[in-house]
Amino acid sequence: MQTTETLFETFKNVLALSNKNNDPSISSERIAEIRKELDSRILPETPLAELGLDSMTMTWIIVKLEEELDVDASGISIFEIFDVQGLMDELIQLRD
Amino acid sequence: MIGDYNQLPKHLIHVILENTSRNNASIIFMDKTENYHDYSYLELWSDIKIAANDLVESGVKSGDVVSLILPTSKEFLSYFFAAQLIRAIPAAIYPPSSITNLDSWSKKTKSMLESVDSKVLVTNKKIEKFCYKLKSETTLKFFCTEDSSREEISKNSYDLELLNDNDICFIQFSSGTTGNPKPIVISQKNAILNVYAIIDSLPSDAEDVDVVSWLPLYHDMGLIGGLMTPIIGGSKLVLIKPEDFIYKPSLWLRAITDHRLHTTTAPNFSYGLVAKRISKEEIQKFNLSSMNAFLCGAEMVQHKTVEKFLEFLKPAKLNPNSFTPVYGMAETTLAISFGDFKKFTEPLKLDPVFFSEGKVVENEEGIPVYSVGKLLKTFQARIISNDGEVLADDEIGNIQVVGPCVSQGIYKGDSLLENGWLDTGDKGFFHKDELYICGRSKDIMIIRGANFYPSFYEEKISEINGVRKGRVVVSSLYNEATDSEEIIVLAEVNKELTKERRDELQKTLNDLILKEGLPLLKVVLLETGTLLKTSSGKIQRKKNVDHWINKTLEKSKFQNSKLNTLYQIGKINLLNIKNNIFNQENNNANN
Repeated sequence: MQTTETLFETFKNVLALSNKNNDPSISSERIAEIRKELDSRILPETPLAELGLDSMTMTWIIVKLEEELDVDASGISIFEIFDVQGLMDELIQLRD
Repeated sequence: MIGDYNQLPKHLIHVILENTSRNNASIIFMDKTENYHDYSYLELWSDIKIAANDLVESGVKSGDVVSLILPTSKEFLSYFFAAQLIRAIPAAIYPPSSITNLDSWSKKTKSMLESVDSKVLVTNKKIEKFCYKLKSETTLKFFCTEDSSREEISKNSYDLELLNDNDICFIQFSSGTTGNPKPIVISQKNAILNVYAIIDSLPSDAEDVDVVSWLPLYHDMGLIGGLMTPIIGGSKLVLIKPEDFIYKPSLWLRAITDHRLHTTTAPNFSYGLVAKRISKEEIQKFNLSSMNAFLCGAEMVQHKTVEKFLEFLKPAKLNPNSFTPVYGMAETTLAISFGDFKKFTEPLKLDPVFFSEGKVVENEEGIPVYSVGKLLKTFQARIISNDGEVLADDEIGNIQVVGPCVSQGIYKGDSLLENGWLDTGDKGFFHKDELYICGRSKDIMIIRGANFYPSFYEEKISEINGVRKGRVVVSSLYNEATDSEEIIVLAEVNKELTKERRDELQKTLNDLILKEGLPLLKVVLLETGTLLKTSSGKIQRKKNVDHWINKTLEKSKFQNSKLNTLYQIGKINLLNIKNNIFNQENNNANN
């Protein structure tokens, strides 16, 4: 079962990978670099609005998280979620 | 029906009270799972009194502006009308979201709040979290609806007899296509008269004007057309949240089918969204035969969008005569004119040469222009030249209106009238008693002394394969080298275009402009999401061109319009994303 900590790690993995959505030519090495940067930049209380995501990337992330966690997140009102912790809380509820 | 104004109600609170005993008057909220939730007028009246107590306890006094940042909900309705009960003034502002540029939103919202000297902002706990930048930069008192004491205001604290039609009904912030949104004052008289004029122009009798609306309530079309029309008419209202409609446009048609509704109003893009997002199989399940008014306003009507919509909805028994373009603006409360319901309005086709010279001459191959119909009762209109000369029919000029639905002006600011008339800012003409709109005066391109209207070229360019529909700006700029105005085109293109296709597209757009006989400065192909829009989804022509000149037009990571953002999401929806990801991964695996 996903704990909050592992869920947070999964989220950061997906967030790093989402850069491929905007730039398919980006290398795996660069994705790994971005992933490392996220550890210092992103906290559970970081507002989603500060992640610099557009609507399409946000949706891509939700879909990827659905696959990783094997849940149906279509009921989540992503635009009403304030911070990373809020998103994880919604996802944990789907898993339980 | 308007006949004797003295017979009309003088205040919306009086209407709400009357509706507590009217059989057909009802409010129903529809959620995204297609469930309906009744909200009786008795419950609304009780909630209004509770909300009024909350406002008074928060220090709100008569004459104060109460700002609201709330979704479409019982809370919006109760706090909006509660402000009116205690003779304060409600002002609705569009809410932020998880992908809003909070710096930009906070700055704009702060400016709006300061323009009306608002001291209290009513919101909910979810939205309050997004307001942290706003909170740190203002001394505004925040009240969250969840903190309501749930106690009703005492009868001594309000007086129904004092409520009258000179009271301010609400403040409407204009769309802000140029500069910050302006706070326009709408009185009870403005609102009630405009609604009665609207009802008078609809095919049904007042008590049968059953409405469905998904429009945001911070927008005049949602507030007056969607909410106040069925309230004042004493009829049925089904309300859908805009984000739910964008997520699932079929909710709109489901509500009409289930409740046999008559009237709805929406901008052009949403008719296109329905035709794009609902499957042909699903359409068969709907029955739209009860509808006699699909109103289309707030942005220019695109005739191809209309044709697709009507064709697509034939299996759902849509009466094509029910579709009608409408014209209006916040400064006139809402509606100025309605098209003819008895026939689907075919566009007038105008000779382009005469058109550019300001004259209306019909030509079968010419530029299509849709009628926005006849003026609603209470309005007079005239067309004047730039020199102030009143023009005759079939001459194009500046549209001016006058009447009791025209706003008294900007909050604690100037009147909107000049010489007794409101200049709408639009160019148009009268032809056989009907009004036609050509475009915004400030957007006109004057090339070699002739007038050209950007929207016609934008629509043509939008139809080209590879160009993102509705994401085009056509304007003119002065070219020093040739000492003349020349055309600039900014067009967003689809992501997956190859370099060859982009080059081809560049050439196609160049040729299109040159073929129209216009001097071309440049066609600029842009990435998805670059062009800026207002909170109501209107393209900001001048702002985009200015950014391009200053080399600051870069791909925006944020949408500055929630509605536009949700439209972007709606275009792809989760199912399509899943399919795309699956296909992409399969392609990667096969390479």
